[in-house]
Amino acid sequence: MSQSPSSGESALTPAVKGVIGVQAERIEASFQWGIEREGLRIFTQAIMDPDPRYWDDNFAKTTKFGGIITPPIYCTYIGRRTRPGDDDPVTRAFAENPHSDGIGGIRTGEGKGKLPLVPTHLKRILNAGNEIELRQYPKLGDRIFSQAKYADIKERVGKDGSRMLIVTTETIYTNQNDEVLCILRASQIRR
Amino acid sequence: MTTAQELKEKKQTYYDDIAVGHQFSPLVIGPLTPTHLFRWSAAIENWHRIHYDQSFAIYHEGLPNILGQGSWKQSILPRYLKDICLPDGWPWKVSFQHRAMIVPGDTLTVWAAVTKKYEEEGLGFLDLDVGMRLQYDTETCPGKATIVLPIRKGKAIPYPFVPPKKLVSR
Amino acid sequence: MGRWIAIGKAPGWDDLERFSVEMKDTSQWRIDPKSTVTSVYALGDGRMIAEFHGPASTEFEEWLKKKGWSVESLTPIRHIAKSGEIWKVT
Repeated sequence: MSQSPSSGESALTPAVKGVIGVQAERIEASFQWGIEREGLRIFTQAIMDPDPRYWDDNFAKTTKFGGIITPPIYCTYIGRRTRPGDDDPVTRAFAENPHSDGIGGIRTGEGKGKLPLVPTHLKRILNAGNEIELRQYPKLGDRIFSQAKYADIKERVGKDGSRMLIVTTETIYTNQNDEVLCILRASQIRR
Repeated sequence: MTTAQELKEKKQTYYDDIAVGHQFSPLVIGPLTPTHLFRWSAAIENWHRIHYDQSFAIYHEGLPNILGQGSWKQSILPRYLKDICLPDGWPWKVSFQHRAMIVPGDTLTVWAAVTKKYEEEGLGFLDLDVGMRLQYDTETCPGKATIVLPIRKGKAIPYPFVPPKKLVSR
Repeated sequence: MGRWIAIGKAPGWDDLERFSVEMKDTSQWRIDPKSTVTSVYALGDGRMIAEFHGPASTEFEEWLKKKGWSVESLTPIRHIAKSGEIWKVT
């Protein structure tokens, strides 16, 4: 890891530039039973969307979608859930740290599907925004796959002359037929 | 809030009928309560204590209260655009930033206003300014979006949606 | 980030309806993104207690003045116990 550069030195080092375009392994975000009604019901209640396209089979068949669909980016939340058979992450979080924030115990698949860390000394991370692009809605039974890559890394200079990086990660969600469902681009400020 | 029946019976809005400057009917959500926040955390298995443990949020994190989840807001904007486009339009894309925190007691007004309209490959595209405004007039989620509406007597919007090559910047 | 308690009096705040008008909406108790009046207690003897956190007590003092409080004391908090959870003010 490089030392902190002086204010004149760019944070967009060759090592940082080297991860632009790096792509992680494509992984399955869903469980083996795919998109199912009960998870969908719980989710749509939480976003308070009563759309009958999510639960009324007879009506959904008459729509352009041909059947039950899910809310626009439902598939992007699938991969966060604890896999069946895993150790309980909540109990582990507090066993490891009694003052845990509740999410410290989460282990996300031993590096599968994860991007390498951006090799920068700039450790503070702020959310700089998100972009969502929709192509189609998942259907019941669809299995969901995701693949992430570093789409871009740019440098910005703050008013105080400090250097920061804007890191954009793009995650593409596909189904079992390799059809694109949606694309999420998340930008972070590293400073 | 929109009802299931309204979404079932919703009539198509056509590209031809919308002018630049048009403001779509807003979606009002709230007042939010700790139970709304807890329900979302449970639905997506987000165990971060800042969303349901008030003492932790205030005394450990120095927050004003438990916070509304950015991940929840991230679903609300596409949902709103989906509703605008129903039954046959398409909420192609939306980008936004997270600004003001939302806390229990807040009411959100989700809004969209047309800034540009153009036709491409026989489809009607509308660029929008979008956001979620709090009850004390602070914007919590400013953004931009592009939706696709059918043109009267024009062709159907393809599904799955494939954006015209000319409009894809990446 | 500091935490302070103010003890004083606020005329009319013993009335629950007035108290709600003064404290319910987010804009009434969130002074700015970092400064918050997190709790207010109306005591049986007519006094009020308010708890605040923020980078400096000056925002709190201005809020109290704006709200019409007469302040007996403004004191930093060291640590807190809340239903078995212990919080140290850093």
